[in-house]
Amino acid sequence: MIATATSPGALSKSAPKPRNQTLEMLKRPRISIPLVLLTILVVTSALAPWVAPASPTKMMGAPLLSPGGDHLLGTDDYGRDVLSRLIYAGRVSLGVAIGSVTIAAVFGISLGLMAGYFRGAVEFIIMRSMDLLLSFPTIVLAIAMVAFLGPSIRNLIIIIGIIYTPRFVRVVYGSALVLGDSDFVNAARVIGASDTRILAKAVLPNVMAPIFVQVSLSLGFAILVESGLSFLGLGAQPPTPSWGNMISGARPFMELYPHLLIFPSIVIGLTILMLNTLGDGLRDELDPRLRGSR
Amino acid sequence: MSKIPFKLTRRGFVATGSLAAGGLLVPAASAAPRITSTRARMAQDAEPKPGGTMIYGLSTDPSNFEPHISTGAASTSVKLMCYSTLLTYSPENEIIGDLAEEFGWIDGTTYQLKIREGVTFHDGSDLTVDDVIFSLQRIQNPDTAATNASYFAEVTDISAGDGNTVNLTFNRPFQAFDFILANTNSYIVSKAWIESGVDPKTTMMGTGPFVFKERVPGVSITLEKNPNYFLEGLPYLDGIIYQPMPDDTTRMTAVRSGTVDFADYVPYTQMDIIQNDPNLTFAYDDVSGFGWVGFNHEMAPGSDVKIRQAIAHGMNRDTMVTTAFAGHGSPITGGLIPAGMIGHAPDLEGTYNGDYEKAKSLLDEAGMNPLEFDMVSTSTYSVIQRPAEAAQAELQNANINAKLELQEWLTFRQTVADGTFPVHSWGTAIDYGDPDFLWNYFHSTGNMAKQFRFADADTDALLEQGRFETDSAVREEIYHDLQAHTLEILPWVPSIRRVQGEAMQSFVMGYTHLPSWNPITMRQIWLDK
Amino acid sequence: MGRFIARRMITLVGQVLLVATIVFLMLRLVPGDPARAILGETASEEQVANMRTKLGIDRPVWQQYFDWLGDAIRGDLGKSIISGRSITDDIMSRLGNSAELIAISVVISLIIAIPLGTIAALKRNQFPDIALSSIAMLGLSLPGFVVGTVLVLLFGLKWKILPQARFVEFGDDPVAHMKLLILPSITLAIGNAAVLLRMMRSSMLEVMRQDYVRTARAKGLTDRRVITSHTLRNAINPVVSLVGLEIATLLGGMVIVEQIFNWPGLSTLLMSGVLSRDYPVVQGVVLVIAIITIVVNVIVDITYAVLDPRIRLT
Repeated sequence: MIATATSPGALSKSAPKPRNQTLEMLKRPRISIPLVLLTILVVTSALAPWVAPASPTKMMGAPLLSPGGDHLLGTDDYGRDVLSRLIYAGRVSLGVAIGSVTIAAVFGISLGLMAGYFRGAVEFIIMRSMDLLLSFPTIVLAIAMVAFLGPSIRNLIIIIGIIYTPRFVRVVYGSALVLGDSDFVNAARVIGASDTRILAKAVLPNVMAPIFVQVSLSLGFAILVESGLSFLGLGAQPPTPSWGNMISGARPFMELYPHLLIFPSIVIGLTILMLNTLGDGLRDELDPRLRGSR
Repeated sequence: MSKIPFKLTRRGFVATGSLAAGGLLVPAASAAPRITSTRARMAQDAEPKPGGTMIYGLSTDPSNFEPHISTGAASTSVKLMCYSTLLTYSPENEIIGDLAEEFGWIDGTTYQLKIREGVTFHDGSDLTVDDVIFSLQRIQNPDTAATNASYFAEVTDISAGDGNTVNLTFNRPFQAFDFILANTNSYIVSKAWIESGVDPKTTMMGTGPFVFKERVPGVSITLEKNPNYFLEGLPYLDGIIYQPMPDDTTRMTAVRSGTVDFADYVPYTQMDIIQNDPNLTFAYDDVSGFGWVGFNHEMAPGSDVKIRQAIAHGMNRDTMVTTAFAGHGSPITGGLIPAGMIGHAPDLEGTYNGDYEKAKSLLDEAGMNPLEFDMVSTSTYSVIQRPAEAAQAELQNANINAKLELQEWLTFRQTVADGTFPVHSWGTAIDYGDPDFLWNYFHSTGNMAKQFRFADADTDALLEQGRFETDSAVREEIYHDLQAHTLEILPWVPSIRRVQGEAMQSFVMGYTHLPSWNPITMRQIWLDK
Repeated sequence: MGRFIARRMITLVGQVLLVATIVFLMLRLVPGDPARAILGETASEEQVANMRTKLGIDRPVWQQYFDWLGDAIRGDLGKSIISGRSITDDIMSRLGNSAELIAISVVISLIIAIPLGTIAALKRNQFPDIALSSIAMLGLSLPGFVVGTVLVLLFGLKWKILPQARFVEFGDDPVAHMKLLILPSITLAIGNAAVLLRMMRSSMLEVMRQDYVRTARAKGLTDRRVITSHTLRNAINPVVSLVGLEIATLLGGMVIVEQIFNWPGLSTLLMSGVLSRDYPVVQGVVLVIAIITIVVNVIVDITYAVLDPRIRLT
């Protein structure tokens, strides 16, 4: 087992942050800009039926029209409006990303905390199962689960969630290991605080920074994993659009009709960029040790 | 029984063709389809230059080389270069002899084959009548699980006759038997070789134009010229190296950049690019590959004939050809039998083609307007997936909402076999050039019909008459009636045909894409460079 | 240290056994069977049933399991039921190809990630950091199949610098072989470098604010000294750990790159095995990948300890 013997310097500052700090954070451009853009993205996707100019699944015009004219971003190989598909696809892609990362984070954080805090048999079972999960090729897992459960959005979320759980476990485990042994947690034990209370009030807040980074990275990855699965025919089912299956569907046409590839790529790229900038920003803001050094 | 000479000229084969003129009891050639390839490539005037090795980009890494079980079109193009069949196709797509010099019915129930003499296997041993009998019995043996086993069901005896002949005794004269023997799963193998305990899945040894050299899985399959091939002068190539390239875009990029000389299975997305490339040739047909919307007849809503008719009316096939294949296909609005084959029925065309109002009124009659059902298809093959999506889009016009689920290929096959979905969308190819191919799909004992839980006494009766009727004029009528009848009761709804073909460098000469998809003309390929 | 390794080895055996069992059972739960894959689409149900008997997959699952496990423990992974080939042979040849591609791409991505990640951390929130982070993000946001296809179209078709060539063994033609490796390893490296760069940056930042680094700085050591002698060594740890994880993931997870560049690696063998329900092939490949992954994890843990003396192994 690995235990980092470094003494974390931030333990004493785990007290809840004052409210005005949130406001102050929002004033920083590297937090506010991505936040605004991501909000726009989420709202547009959520309001897709009202925002999108056309149906995402109905064939509206001639196939493979270039951008401009009646269809702002052109039409795809089935004559469907690319812009409308992009907007609707946000629901699936963001939904899959948020859903799967939530699953991974909830399970990953709880398992990681337990493993790091309780040690012993709990630690052994959790950590070695995570190794097991990591050693299991993703494709086998994905194909087996899709074949067995059927290729629905819900199952996609479950599969990607499972794939990302070990990453959260590893992130949280390392920190929990150190914290579990610290004076500060020992003191809490002495005064009779329950394990749950210690984990939630003392340990969890101190592992939030790496979790934020992991969440922001994983959200982006989840969008990509979905596109990889689409490439293998295991992603969101046609005609339902997702950014991932739009990209994989565009690949045969990328030479003659690059617009089919470019638009969803831009949206994915921008989303991931914003998510990561936000993740980094939050991490720096939330980590008290970094604030002074800016 | 007369001799059917098989001539080889310097320019390649000239099929003497009309077996009917030979006076056989059953005029086999009249049964041969006259569908000609839309883009046949023949080395018309140039003198073939021997030599050179051709690099072949193969769409699937062959799963194995078992000679009597179909492992897909890609592996056929390898196996057929090592093994030979008794009969095969001429570049005009007519049945000709290959290992058999003469063939046909000598009486009502006996089919005779005169085996070519002086043919040797790649190991130097002579091809004997025993090998032929052994091979046919191997196909017949249930333990082999041969693809063509069911076509030998009527065969009661296979034995040697006089003068290097083999006689097959039938209960009833199976009219399409020529096509079965010309099929690429009816290879003739060496009895001694198979019995020596080799694993025919991993290696090949036959009488074909090329000798199997080695296989590196996922990398290459190497064949070398058979200097003792029984057709003199052939093959022209010194060898063929097959390189599996399962990714469509990769394979097409390889042929376009000249990395490979030949590539099978051009995806429709690349057909225009390939056709417009001055350095490339595209050889194809739009006859064999077809798709359909099928049902589990024991399940609502497909169990109601009105619903099946509504679905048939609810699809505009012309639109589907555009949406599914950007025009690289053709609609099926009547019977499935293509022009040139016995039973082709032009008068039935236009029976079903996008009459949405009619579809809606049929739904009303069935009391199910709007109609919604689950439809399963496969994401593994775009030639199946795209028509499924096109059908789904078309049916919306007729108030029919097909909720599509795309499964991976083997899961899909299991799903259809288990009948868990009421409706499916599938596609495959015409198995052989005789209307008897419909048996599989329509007859209550047919493998496909069984999966669809379809059985109809009238349909069975017509198919049985057709299979054993010797008068081809009568057969024309039988199969016309069969199509008219099945268009009424709709065991399943045919949708569109697709273009299927190969891309090659323009210096690749002598190849003809046959609508039967039999790649035998590869033995005539030569490189003009 | 010795006790640690011994204990991990025992655990390892248990884990591998568990992976073997899970994959065995999972495959049998997945619909679609190999008999149908062998026979093609026109096969009748009787033929399928016959083939199942012939393959022995109609026997009770536990019986199949113990037969396979018994052979596997003796090092015999059996024969593919689809191709009839020896699975051990096929895995060995594919494993070499995969390892080669992974090794080269990891080296490329480390060469990119470590210096650039360090720079980004040192120039935190200044132009170089923002520029590098954005580029990394771009690398992260493009799926491998897009990057790969673009590279093939540009280098192979348009500029004809690196035409797609047939696979050749290193022994047959080393130059041609290495040329073949360029595009796929770059494709893999682009995604990986982005991840590693971010990890390097954040880990560097983490280390830089540790007390001992502050002390070193306070002592008046130059930035260069501080970085080389104090920070870098410690900051690389998480990157090493991540690389270990990546290597293991890539073994079975490069399907797309292998497919696009026609590289005969382990992932394609695994993928075709899964798609044709070639049970023994999938079992064999997963077993080998699991062993490698778990061993790599142990090695990563030990390397960690060697690189960072503060870490205790328990």
